Order: sequence, then C-alpha cells, then structure tokens
Amino acid sequence: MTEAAASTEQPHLTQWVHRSARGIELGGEVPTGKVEPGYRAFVSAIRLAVSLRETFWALVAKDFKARYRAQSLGLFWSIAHPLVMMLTTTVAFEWVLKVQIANFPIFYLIGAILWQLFANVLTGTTSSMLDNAGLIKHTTFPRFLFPISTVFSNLIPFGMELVLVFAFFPVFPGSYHLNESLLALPFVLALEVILLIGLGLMTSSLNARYRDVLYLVTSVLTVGFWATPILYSSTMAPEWIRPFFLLNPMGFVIESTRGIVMKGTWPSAPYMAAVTVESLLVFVAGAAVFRRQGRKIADYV
Amino acid sequence: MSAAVKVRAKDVGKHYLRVHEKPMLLREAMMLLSGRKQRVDDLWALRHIDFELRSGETLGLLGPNGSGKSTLLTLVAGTSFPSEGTMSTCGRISTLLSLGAGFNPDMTGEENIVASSGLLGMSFAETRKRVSRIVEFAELQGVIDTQIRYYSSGMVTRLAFSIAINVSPDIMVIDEVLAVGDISFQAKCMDALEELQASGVTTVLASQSPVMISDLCTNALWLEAGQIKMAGPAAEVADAYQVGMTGYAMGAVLADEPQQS
Repeated sequence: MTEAAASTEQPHLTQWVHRSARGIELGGEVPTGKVEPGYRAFVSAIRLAVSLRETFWALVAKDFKARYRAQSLGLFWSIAHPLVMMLTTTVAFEWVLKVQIANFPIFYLIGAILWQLFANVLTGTTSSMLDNAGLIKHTTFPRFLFPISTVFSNLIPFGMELVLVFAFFPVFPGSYHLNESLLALPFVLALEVILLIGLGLMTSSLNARYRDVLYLVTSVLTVGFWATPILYSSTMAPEWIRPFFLLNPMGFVIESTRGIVMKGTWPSAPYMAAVTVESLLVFVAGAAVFRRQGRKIADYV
Repeated sequence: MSAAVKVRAKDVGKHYLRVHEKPMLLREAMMLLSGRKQRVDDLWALRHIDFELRSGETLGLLGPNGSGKSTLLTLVAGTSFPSEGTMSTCGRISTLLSLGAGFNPDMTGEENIVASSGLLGMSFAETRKRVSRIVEFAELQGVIDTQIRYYSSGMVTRLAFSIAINVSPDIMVIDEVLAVGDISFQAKCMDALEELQASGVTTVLASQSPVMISDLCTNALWLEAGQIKMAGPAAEVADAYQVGMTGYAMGAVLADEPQQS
C-alpha cells in the first residue's frame, strides 16, 4: 500500500455513517442499531486518529504558533519564564526565608517545569472545545483530537525547558548525579502525559456544557500547587504524610524526576506501580466521560 | 438506472432543552444533592423528518426563520447528532455553514486552504496539488499569502466556497452564505454547483429564496416549526412556499409592482 493510498483510506469516508441518539455506527447501508462497546470504540478511535495524523500535527502546530506568534521573540519566552521564576524563587527562599534545601535552583526548576506543563495543559485542554468552536461546528473532525492536540502542543516548549534543566550542568555540576537511572525518565514523564490526556478529555467535554469547569480547574490548580512538592520536598514533611505526596501522581512525577536527575536514584517501584494504575484509571474515566458528552459538544459550543 | 442513495433521514428529530440559566456544574451538583429540579423548556427543533437523496440530487430547504433548516443541515453534516431517528450518510461531506468559521484569522489564505482541506479529510499531498485551482477559482491570486484577518467578508466566502467544492465531496451541505459574494461570483458558484450535480454530488441547500431553490434543486422540503409541511419536486414546493408566505405566485410580485407605483 502506498503512502498516498494509506492516508486517504479513511473508513468514515467510504462507509455508511449512521448517527442516532445512541451514537455513531459505521458500516453497511442499513443500520443494525447496535452501538460499539467501549473497548471497540477505543480501538476505532485510535485507528481514526492514525488515519488523520497529518491534520492532527497541523492542529498541534497551529495551536503552538497561535500561542507564540504574537510574541516577537517567540520560544525565547517559554525559556525565559522558568529562568526568571527560578531566579526570583531562589533569592526569596535562600536569602530571605533562609530555607535549607540543597541545590535549590535545580531542585525548583525541575518541580516548576513539570508543574507548569500540568497547569498549562489542563487550562488549555479545558477550554480547547470553545477555542475550536468554529471547527467543531463545521467539520466532523474527531472531537477528542482537540484536547489531545493541546497536550502535544505544550510538549514542544516543555521539551525546550527540559533541555534547559540539563544545560545548567556546567553551572551547578554539584546539583547533578547523572547515571543509568535516566532510562526511567521517559516512563515517568509518560505517566504525566497519560494523566493529562485523561484529565483533558474529561474537562474539555464538561466545559463545553458547564462553563464553570474552567474556574473549578483553576481553583484546584492553585490548591494543587501547594499540595504538591514543588517548593518543598516530601522528605521535609512528617513521616506519615509522605505516602500521600507520592500517591499524588504529580508529586510522584516531580520527586522521581528530581531523584533521577539530581541523585541518580531509580523511582520507587511500588509507587510507580500505584501511580501508573491511577493514571490509567484517570485516562479510562476521561475517555468514558468524553464518550458520554462528546456527541453533544457541537450543540453546546 | 436509479443512482445510489447517499443521504437518508429516518424519522429524525432534534430535541433541545432550553435552560433559563447558564448551565453550571456546581449548581447542578447541588441541585442533584438537594433533589430540586431546574426549570427547563422542551423544544423539538425538528421532528419526524424523513427523506432520501440519491447521488446527483439536490434537496432545497425552505421555511421561515427558526423552522429548523440550519438544524437539519448540521444533522446532515454530522456535526450534531439527532435525538431520535437515524441520519445516515455515505461519503465525504463538505460544508458551507456560516461565513469563515473554521478559518484561522492569523494564518494566510494558503495555510487555511491546507488546514481546512485536512479537516475535511484530504491528505496534504492531495491538497497541495489543488491549491492553485482553489486560489484561481476564488480569484484571490494577489492576496493568498496575506492573513485572512485582512480579507473582506466576500473574499472569505469565495475562499470557503472554493475549498468546499474542491475537496471532491460526495455530499455538500450549504447554508445561505452565497449571498455575500458579488453577482459575478454568485453566478460562478451556481455554474459550479450545477457541474457538481452533473458529476453526481448530492447537495442539501437551505435558502430563503424560492427562485434559487427552484433553479438549483431537484427536490425540496418546506419546513415549518420543525416539521415537514410539504415535500416534493423543487419547483412545486418553491411555488407553494412563495404563495403560502406572500400570497403571490413566483414572478407575480415583480409583474405587479409597476401597477402599484
């Protein structure tokens, strides 16, 4: 099969599509009235996404450009922001508050960029259906790809910030302990991405219907910022609270990344297992909420 | 002999809940807990819609404002789902539902052509081959590298129409947006639509103009309060609609005017 044939071979363009209150059915001319069970719908959603990958990446690029085109220095700002935050927070914590955290600049930078990714993606995906209202009213482009494209467009500046973390190695060589535990880093970051896609599917579809979801999300993020070990380490808290910090998926991702980059330690296996299960559960819940709400999005936006 | 069916509506209805307050998750959650019910009105925007369209046929939708024409178009386009019944379509659908929505004002005309075609299901390689044809039809050669935000509304319509007919659709869904282009472009659009019909494209078109419906369409539906008031050959329905709405037959209005003045 040639590349061109593969990209035009989209099942929804050659088959009959039957839309009813129960959902969508692809296939023959006469509808059977049966709706795909959840797991089958999931598989067809993935196949649909793969067949539309070109447009998906165009959407990611559009989302990314829209955010940076207005600024003449573009990507520079995505790096300048964490740098400025790192500087001011270090001054405030080390000189003014006299908090004793070893290697605070890198310690904070790692926590800050991982949390920024989480917060930016969550606010971005929550409003993604309203941001793309024009496209939703005009095309049948699968709606679940809008929040997912927001996740990916935020991963571009995040990638640069991650490079920034390692770029400080010559400045603070004592803050790093790089070894084979770096192999675990992609898996830890993948947990955050799965978590974000799940949450994004949930909040984006709910926000199309209920416009206060965005306010709820921002409030929860403010609480989350202080409840997550970003400005502090879970080891500073009383022993009995510690498991709760690590069962918070973002707490686990941040502390594990710090461990990997700064101490060369592998993430704790039991917590990794627990957080993986949590992220997958959030993902499944997000997909389920989206499946219930998704059909109605065009009526609400 | 008879061409293949491309669009089929079976007892289609669309139900809206008219809520008096903006839906809020917190309030609904509290009301669910307290067991109180929110005041909502039921509204059937469409009910008991049945029709079948074959390849090459064009269905015109006539009806006063708020009769459900646009709702029916979104159901055919597949952007919204029926509340009862089944709407079935077969093939690539291209839409012209409202002016310029779906375009990104910050992107140039050409970037928008590629993006829109992609969203309608074309591969980028296919689109690139058609860009010059799309630009040429829209007569936008001089401004295609300019951001869409600097286009006039007529230019945006021309671009949207040109994209819509050039993505090789099987089904076209058109709301009354053609009126924005100038007369010469409108004439060009009519020719293009007739060409598409001849090549087997199935079209659903909503319009306030009975003349346009009887010129362009093979069949027509007269909608009133979400129900079909009359269905049949376009010329007959358009005539009846004209008489029903104004008391004059088509053409009679113009002929009478000089005598009144």
